[in-house]
Amino acid sequence: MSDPAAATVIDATNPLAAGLEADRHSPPVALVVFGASGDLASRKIFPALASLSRRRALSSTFAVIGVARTPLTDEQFRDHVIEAAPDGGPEWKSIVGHFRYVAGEYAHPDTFDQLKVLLAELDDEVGTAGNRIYYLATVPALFGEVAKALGQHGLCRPTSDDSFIRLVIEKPYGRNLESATELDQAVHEAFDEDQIYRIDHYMGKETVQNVLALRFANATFEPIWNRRYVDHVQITVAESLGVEHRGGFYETAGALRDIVQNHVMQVLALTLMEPPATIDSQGIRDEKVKALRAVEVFTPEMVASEVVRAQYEAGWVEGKQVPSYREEEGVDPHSTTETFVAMRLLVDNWRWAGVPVYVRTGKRLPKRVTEVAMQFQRVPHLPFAGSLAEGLEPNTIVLRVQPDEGITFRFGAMVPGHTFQVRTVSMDFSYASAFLEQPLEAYERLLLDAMVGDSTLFIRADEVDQAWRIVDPVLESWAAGHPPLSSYQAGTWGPKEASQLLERDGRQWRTP
Amino acid sequence: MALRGGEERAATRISTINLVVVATDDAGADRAARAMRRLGRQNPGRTVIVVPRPGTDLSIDADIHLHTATVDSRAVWWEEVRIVVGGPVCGHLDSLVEPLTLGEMPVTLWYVSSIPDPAEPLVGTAGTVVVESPGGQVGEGTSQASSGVEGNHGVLASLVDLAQRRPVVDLTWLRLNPWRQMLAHLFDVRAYRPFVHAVQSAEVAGPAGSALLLAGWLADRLGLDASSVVRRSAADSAALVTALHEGSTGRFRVEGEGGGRRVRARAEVDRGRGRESTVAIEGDPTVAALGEALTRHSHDRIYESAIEAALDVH
Repeated sequence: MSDPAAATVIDATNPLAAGLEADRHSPPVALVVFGASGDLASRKIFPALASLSRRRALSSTFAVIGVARTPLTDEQFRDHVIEAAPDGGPEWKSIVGHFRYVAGEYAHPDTFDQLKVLLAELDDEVGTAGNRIYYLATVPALFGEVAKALGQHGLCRPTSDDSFIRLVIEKPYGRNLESATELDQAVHEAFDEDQIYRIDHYMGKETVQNVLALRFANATFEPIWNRRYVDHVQITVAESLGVEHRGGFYETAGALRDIVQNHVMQVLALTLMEPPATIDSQGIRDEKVKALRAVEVFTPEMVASEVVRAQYEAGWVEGKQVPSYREEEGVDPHSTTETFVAMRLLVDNWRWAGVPVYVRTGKRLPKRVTEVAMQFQRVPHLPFAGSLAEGLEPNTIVLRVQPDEGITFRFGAMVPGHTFQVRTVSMDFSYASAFLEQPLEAYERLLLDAMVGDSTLFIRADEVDQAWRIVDPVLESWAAGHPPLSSYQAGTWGPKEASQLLERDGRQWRTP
Repeated sequence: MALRGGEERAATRISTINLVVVATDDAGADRAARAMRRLGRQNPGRTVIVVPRPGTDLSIDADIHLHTATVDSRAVWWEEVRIVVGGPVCGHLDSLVEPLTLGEMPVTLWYVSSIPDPAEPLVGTAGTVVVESPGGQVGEGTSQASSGVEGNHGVLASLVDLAQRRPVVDLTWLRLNPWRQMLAHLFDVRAYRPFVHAVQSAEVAGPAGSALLLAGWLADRLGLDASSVVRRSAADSAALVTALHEGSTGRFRVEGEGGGRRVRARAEVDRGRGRESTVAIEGDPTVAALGEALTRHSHDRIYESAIEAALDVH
């Protein structure tokens, strides 16, 4: 999946690296983390780097510069990194020894002047070779400001033909289509699109990538992956957790922006897209955009009938009594933020016309599970007497993204006995018990991809636009109060309106 | 049937591989069995360990073990069959082994302490052949003691022949990966990169098999004449590459320490301030190498070129 031009930079000039490509490792590079003292850096970025170090995927010419408002010395920053990610093996401490820190306001020129000096020092002392990756792990409101400042300080262009500068941006990318476009304009003032790596960590999950392997590496599935055989598709992203300590953030996001606009749209695009000519950054992303473009946009009337929003009430989840959303820390007691969304999407193209795609996501659902279920049409005629085939369900292929990653195929089998009774059984494939290799955690994969210049799993600007195009009309209708917010008891699969969404089509939600 | 998530699910058996092990003695068979007991949960399938005793009377004795483990709350099985055979059947092991392999699963053949005759019928049944260059292990002997330069070169010649017929995975080669990676990484530093194209000589050390593989690899990848590569015996593997670029001399060294538990790499130009890094080798190197070997099913052209080049190194 690598971008050959970028991934072979080292190999082309270093004959000793040939044959070691399978063990991808970072080129010389300085990773500049904006928001380095924040939660994301401590929970995800530093542990991912430590894990890459343990796998010997970080070269000795790798370094980090942390940038944040919190006043820290280099030594304190290194201690902070080690505390956040203690398990990086013996060489990790040696690598962290290269790490530096800039304390300053993101709007202040001094911050970027200091950064410029430190980057030059690392080129000289560590050998980072003029290569830089800027990782925006700040609050989203600062993304455009930081990108512009990097441009204004001459930090966004490579200093030589064989060095690179890349910008990694966390989600959310805007709050709607308009703000995403504004952010894009601000970022593009300094960076070209091929320098920009927009992260959706779902794309770093190996089981999400396996949708591509299942569909395009097997002759069995692709011929039936269309409207002739598929009855409908269900995409479920369920969380058993509430908002935990992120109530303030969640109040500004809600389930639609937090999950549907990014994770769900990415999974949907991979599931429904046409086969790409090549599995590389352009081939895959071109096809994803085409799939998203084919998703029918809701009119206000359709939002009322095809979309359900709801908020959880108090209840019991996994044996624990939990409060209602409005009682959570940092949440407005009169909040109308949705913690659950269900919707029925239609995809207007040759392959999927007339096949509904049902999506649901929510917090405080009975269990944490993400899956895509492709339910096939029933056989045209059952040759068994009525009672013998009772309970026989249509064939279903379930792609389990998390947890218990794998694939389930549900099909009919004969029940042992004197009568020819058939019943649905499940055949499971589990990644955990089929491969020796330990999968890379999503952030490990994506950080390493950014280092070697493979943008396949990152989100291109036109994908972001298409996802907002689908979601924007819903946000606008909701802002006008249509449809009203429903509620559901924590620990259930959502409000009755979500069930009705399928029942009126003669279908029902799966119970994952 | 196992119940999960309110659904009735068949407890599906998952198999990914057949591993056929040929060991010349019980010690080799035990070593293979120990390794597979540690790898079995990640490589469920069937291991058939054969111990041929050609000079004895006709006999076939078999032990069968079924191992199970819970992986992510589901059971995984792997099977171990050990067969000790005597008499003329030792010359027809393929007839004994093939009926015991799981159908539709790749067959990896591991010769624990010998290099197979490429014409051996059993080799023809395998998708991949795992071997271990002699003297390649650190701290663990093989029954195939290194027998001087001529003996090692004879083994190399067999490996070259074998690799032309089947993909060969050499555990000694896989154990050298950290050395190769760290030496290669030294030249990732922009200031050092020109030196990789201006290497004058190389010196390698280590157990016989490791040193020969390193020497062959350096000679092949750097385009060195065999006479420019010096080899000596040592307990730990090491390589020193000397290069001359625009009047400066660069020395690039990678060496094992602590019985191969750590690998240190160092670069310096004109004896100036150098760069150094160290990595630790965690876990059992043989188990790790075997684990990696079981995932390989195609020709390793870099290895094949290295063993061909090693034939010329003295």
